[in-house]
Amino acid sequence: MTIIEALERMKKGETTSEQIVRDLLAKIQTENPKLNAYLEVFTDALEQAKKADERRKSGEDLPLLGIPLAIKDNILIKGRKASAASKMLEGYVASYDATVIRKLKEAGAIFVGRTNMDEFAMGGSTENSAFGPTKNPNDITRVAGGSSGGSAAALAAGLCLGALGSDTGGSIRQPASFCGVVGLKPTYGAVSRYGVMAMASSLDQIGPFGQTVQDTELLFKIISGHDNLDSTSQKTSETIKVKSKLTIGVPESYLKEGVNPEVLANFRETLEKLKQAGHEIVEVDLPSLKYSLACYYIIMPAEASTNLARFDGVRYGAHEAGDNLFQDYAKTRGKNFGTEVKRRIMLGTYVLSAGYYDAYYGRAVAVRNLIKSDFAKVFQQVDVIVMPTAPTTAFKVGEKTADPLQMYLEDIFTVPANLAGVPAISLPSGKDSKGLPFGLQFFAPHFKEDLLFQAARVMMNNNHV
Amino acid sequence: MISREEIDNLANLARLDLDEAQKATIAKDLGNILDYVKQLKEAEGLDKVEVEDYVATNVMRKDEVINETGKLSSNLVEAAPKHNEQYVRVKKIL
Repeated sequence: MTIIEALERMKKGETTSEQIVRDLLAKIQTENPKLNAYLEVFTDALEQAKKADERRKSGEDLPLLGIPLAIKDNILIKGRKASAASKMLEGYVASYDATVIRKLKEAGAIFVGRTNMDEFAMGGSTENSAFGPTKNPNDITRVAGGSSGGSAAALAAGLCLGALGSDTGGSIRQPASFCGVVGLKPTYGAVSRYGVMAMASSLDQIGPFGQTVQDTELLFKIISGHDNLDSTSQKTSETIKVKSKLTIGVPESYLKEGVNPEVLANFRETLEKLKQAGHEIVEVDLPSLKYSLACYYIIMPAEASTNLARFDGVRYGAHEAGDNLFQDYAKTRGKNFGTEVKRRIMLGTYVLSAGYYDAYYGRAVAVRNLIKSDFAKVFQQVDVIVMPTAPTTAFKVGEKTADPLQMYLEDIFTVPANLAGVPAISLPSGKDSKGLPFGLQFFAPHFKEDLLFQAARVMMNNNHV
Repeated sequence: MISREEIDNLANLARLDLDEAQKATIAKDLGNILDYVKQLKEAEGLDKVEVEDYVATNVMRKDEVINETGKLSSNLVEAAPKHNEQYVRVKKIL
């Protein structure tokens, strides 16, 4: 059942939030032990649903009244645990609501639980969770993608009606692609980051997962908007004139290497369908796009290493005692951070250290500006840009854990949107020979999410997915 | 490959207690990643790029107490693993 369907059925009195949540909880009981999508299912979920039903009975009609959602474990809900799937935050209870949570509460949504993720959102498979990997509902020997793998898997398996994730380099779109659902990374500044645990602050965005484009759009409209509590949040009032035929750019030179042949074939097939439907497909050149991943793997760890300095065993979470204050810090962090988090902190510390700063961090920031300017130029010619979401479909659990660089290459098509700050959406695009979902990704200019949703609807209608 | 001294120095700067095996793995991984990102040296046209970037502005509020005294701070202090009434406990600093 989609969010839109659930709302209609509740309005007609054909079902209740309580009934929907009862069904979900029953399914969670059998499926979650296999998938490990939820880290915690809230014991008051049913109670929240009953309250929503009472509100509806008394005549209230809110845009998400009684809709059960799943929330990534790095987004704060007041009074509930939030661990970012790390041992570092053991016992931590959020003392305030993230702005997105406040907005969802005001819209009447209810929360089923918090979902598994790569520790502090660092990873592309949810295998870096301190609480074990999330499995892909399409094949439980495979990963759900990451870092928001729990949210994507919970939605794909029917264990919630919608979900929130965060996307720093593809962490919403890639798991959406692997699990076969819709995932949106909004424009940088479109959704308040207040109350999401910061990983790389110039790249992070919170975004929604939906079973359909309509559900994703509905969630986005509710969580977006200016917020004084996030200084990078932007005021937007632009409404976009929707065109009936789109000009769609394809960065051919970026698709030449490292893409699985089946992924590429599916992508070509979709382009053909879009062309037949009357949209114009043009080749576009973004010469700096090839530097995206290298640029990302300097800027992201640099920002992460500074953001994660706050986890010191003093302010919150775990604490390990040493001989002195320095040892308290080092022991707490050494014992409670996982391998990938340590790797990125070390890398970030390296690229920011005296003598290396200009050569690495300074260079990466300059190249990032090149990438931004490439996008700006191309968006003068086309409405949207299209690419596959990931170079492969879901891989096996354990397949890429030994070589971090291999894992990083999974992000090749997703990081450009974060570097340029533009919005991008991943859509299910059929399945491969093993029955695993493909993902297709559209990029639009800053704050033109409406154009993305239009392109997404066009593509879903043409594909009959 | 990064030298052992560099790894020790970085771990020190990052306040990370690492065992020998972790140091060896991280040295190897960092070496590979730094080799990969070297390609940024080839990027051209950095001096010509013009980016119409939005200007980040400070969001300031008046310096005034807007919450009931202690209401927020007690929540935050209680989140600290070691605390005593309204204080966060740490080891001797000086």
